Amino acid sequence: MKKNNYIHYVIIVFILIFLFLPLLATFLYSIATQWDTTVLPKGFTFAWYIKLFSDMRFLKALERSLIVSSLTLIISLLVLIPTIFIITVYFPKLEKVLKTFTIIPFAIPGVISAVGLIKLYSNGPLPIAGTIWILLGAYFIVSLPFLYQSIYNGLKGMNANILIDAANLLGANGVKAFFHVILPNMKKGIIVSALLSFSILFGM
Amino acid sequence: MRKRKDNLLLLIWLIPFILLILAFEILPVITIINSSFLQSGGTYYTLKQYKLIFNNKFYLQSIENSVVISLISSIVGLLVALIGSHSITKLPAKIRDNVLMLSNMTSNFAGVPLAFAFMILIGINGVFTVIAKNLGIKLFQGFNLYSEMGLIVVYIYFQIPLGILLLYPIFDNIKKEWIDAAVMLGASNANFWRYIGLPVILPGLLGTFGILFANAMGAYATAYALVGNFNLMTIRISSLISGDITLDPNLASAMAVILGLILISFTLLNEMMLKKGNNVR
Repeated sequence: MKKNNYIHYVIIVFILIFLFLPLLATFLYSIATQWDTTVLPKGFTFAWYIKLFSDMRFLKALERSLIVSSLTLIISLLVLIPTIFIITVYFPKLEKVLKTFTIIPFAIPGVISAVGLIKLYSNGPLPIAGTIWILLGAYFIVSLPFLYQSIYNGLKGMNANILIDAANLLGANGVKAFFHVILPNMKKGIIVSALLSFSILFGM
Repeated sequence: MRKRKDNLLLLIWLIPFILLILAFEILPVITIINSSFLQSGGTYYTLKQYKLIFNNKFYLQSIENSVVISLISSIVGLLVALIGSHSITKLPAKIRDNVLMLSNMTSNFAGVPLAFAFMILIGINGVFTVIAKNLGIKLFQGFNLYSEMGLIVVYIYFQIPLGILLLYPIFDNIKKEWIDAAVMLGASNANFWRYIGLPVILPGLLGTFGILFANAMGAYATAYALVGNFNLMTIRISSLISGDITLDPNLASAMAVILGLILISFTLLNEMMLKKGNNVR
């Protein structure tokens, strides 16, 4: 039994090395003075980083990435939390429909939806192609499956239906129960899923 | 009665969600399907685009390349993720959580930076290429990162963490008590996996396979950064909508529809296999 466990450690160490080698290589390259035909870099420097952070265009791009990702996240959470809450608690029959729409983004690669989005919004009643708004919309769809799953798990995990019933019995209305009982209980799940989606969006 | 009316009023809160889904999920798909059948001027419907794709060796090759690379990389990625997540379940809880966190971290590493990282490692003057050369080992002889083989290696890289992310919860469903019970009833370890373990994880396994396949079929930036103009469906699509030689959004739409259809039929095939498996059992 003990011997078996070693195999599992070996397997996992191998997988982790494989997964982290490219990250390590990128980092080493970023602090190398020169690294082309040698096994290891010839020397180390932080000059590239100093150069990068004094480049206005990079800073602008970084700022924009941060703004777009966090704005998407805020809008997504504001829209999704009430939607998922209302459907799971008051309209459980619609759960299947909601689930279908949240899985579809998995089946539509970014390139495909980009074709449609560009065609749809480059002219016509809503010409938002090339602006931040089309990106917000597209990112909302990209992060939808991840956010849905964790918000849904959070609601199911705390037995939201029973909690709402209990709150109603004690005299709180639905809105009050949502803000004072459901939301505080969901905080942890929301933060985790928000971090995950943020890193996905930021990396796009 | 009053309660029912209150509940219906709640539906107002769903309006933003419905609008967003309509505008950015449903309408784009309808637009693509519609424009894939439109004559390039946009006045009447035609099958020209589809005929062109299925009669053009270049476009057919891109479909074949995409499917082959996606299939191989998802199968290998799935196998490694399967072995890996099985091993992860055997670890003590604390180490397990850390390993999962590390693996999830790397699942966001894709696209241009990933292609670049592999160039540093096993490119023409990559670290391991140089080491192998210095040691006189012919490890990388015949291997070229900037080819189909190289693409498969890089694709496998981004399939593994995603596979672990999706497969681990499935393994978690197999309770230790089941193994104990089965062993107590006289089953061997192999028997347990054959009759209980595998049937339990099979739906999740096939579902994960589907997502990995879709993930590879839709990958674009990685391939573009690594090989530039390797003939893949996604690269054809993007060069048709934003390229500088041939611009044909209608043809791009038809390509996108075909890509979507491949993914849908793949999912249906998975479901069918699952149903068949259930019947046999």
